Amino acid sequence: MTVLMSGINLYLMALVFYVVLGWDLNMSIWISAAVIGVYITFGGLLSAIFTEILQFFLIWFGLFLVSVLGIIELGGLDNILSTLPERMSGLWSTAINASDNEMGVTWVGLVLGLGFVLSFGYWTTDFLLIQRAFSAKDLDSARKTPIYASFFKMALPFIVVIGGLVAWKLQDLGQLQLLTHPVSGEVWNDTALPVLIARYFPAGLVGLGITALLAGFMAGQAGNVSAFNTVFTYDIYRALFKKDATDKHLIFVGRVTTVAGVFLSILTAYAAMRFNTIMDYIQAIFSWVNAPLFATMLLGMFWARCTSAGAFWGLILGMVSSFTMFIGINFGWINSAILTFSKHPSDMSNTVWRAWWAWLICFVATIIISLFTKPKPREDLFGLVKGLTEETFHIRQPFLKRPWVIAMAALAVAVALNIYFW
Amino acid sequence: MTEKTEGLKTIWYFVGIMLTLMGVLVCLAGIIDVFMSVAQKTVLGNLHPSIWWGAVMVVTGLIFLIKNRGKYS
Repeated sequence: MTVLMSGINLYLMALVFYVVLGWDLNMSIWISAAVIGVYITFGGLLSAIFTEILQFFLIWFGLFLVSVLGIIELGGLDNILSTLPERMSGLWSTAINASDNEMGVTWVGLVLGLGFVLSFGYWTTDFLLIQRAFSAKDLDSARKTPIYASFFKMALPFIVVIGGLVAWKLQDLGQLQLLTHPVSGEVWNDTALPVLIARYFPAGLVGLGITALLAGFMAGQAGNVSAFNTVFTYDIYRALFKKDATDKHLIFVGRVTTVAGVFLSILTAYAAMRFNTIMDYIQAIFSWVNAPLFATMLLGMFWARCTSAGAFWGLILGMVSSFTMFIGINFGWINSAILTFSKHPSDMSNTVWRAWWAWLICFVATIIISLFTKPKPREDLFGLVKGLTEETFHIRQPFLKRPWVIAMAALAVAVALNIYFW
Repeated sequence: MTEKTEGLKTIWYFVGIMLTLMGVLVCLAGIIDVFMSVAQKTVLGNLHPSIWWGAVMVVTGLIFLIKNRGKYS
């Protein structure tokens, strides 16, 4: 999973070199991989997290201005939104019928597949995010980090969505030409942001914009490779092959794993290239892995009767069924209209509904298998399952710094945004 | 809770240094562009985004620097 995600970042980094500097795409992929491989191999997780913090600011300062200038050129945000076609004009207002929106999905699919399974799955099962919580200085920081991050996550569409709308609108007006995809020959939507940077940013700023894009992808790849390295070294190598390994030996294995992870990322970068938009690829991966894993995680954390066999085989069944649906739809063996309840399903509606079905299959299978297999003694589950774990989190904090207060503020912003873009 | 008085400087201090330095460079590039008339070649170049955006970065960077001066992680 982390290696598949890492390939995306590698591919996008190469794409920036290709679009902005005109470098060969293959050479760009290998050079980008080499740079990241060196700094994670020698710096480890600490270097990845420290550079992520610096890169966070680079990304915001480098890319925020693209959307601002786009809005200025097109006469304001309201002007952009009011001239969009009816199908693209709202979030929920166009989701009553699947044929009324670009994704070909109703609000039921949005809530179950995207809102519940894919979003919750992303925040709770993506090891890149979980590892950040593990490396927090204390429990309070670990709890607050995703809540604070949610504010920036909600602001990110200002760069991604508004930037995309600006590119779409300018293209519609005949004032902008995106590149053609080298594999499919269709318009290459992933090139929108680099093309807008080249359009708006003069000499000094263009360096900042490119650095911001590279920083974003570099942070993503470094984070994913370091996550891969940690999972392999500690959860597989030390747990299964060498339980008495010294720290020095584990560091060596971690470095070798990093190099292997970078090479695997190169392979997955070429796989990512085959998708017309990277969003389709990301959501496809999430529907294969994170969607069923979210069901396993939920039951494992909140249901003491869940057994190892139930969790393992339920997860396998969920992942296999998701991948089978993906292959079946792509090769025309399965009619996606049945899975998506839509006469005109898109790649995105297929993914959203596939995620939901994979989650449901995993959830139900885990429960059934668990009920027929021997449970673990309850004393073995202390510290692992909610309800059997003594929670020692009793720090007195000022009202505005309490996690639930900040979480409520995040929820209020989310509701306000949904109403504004209704 | 007592603050640390030695060790590695907090990461926010380095964020301040980075934003200030990059802001100065972007701002200077924008000023040079005005005299070389290069900025006019990009769309909305007449608004001189490098100058004011560079200034925003410098101000933000200085705030980080001042607020985290003398803090250690």
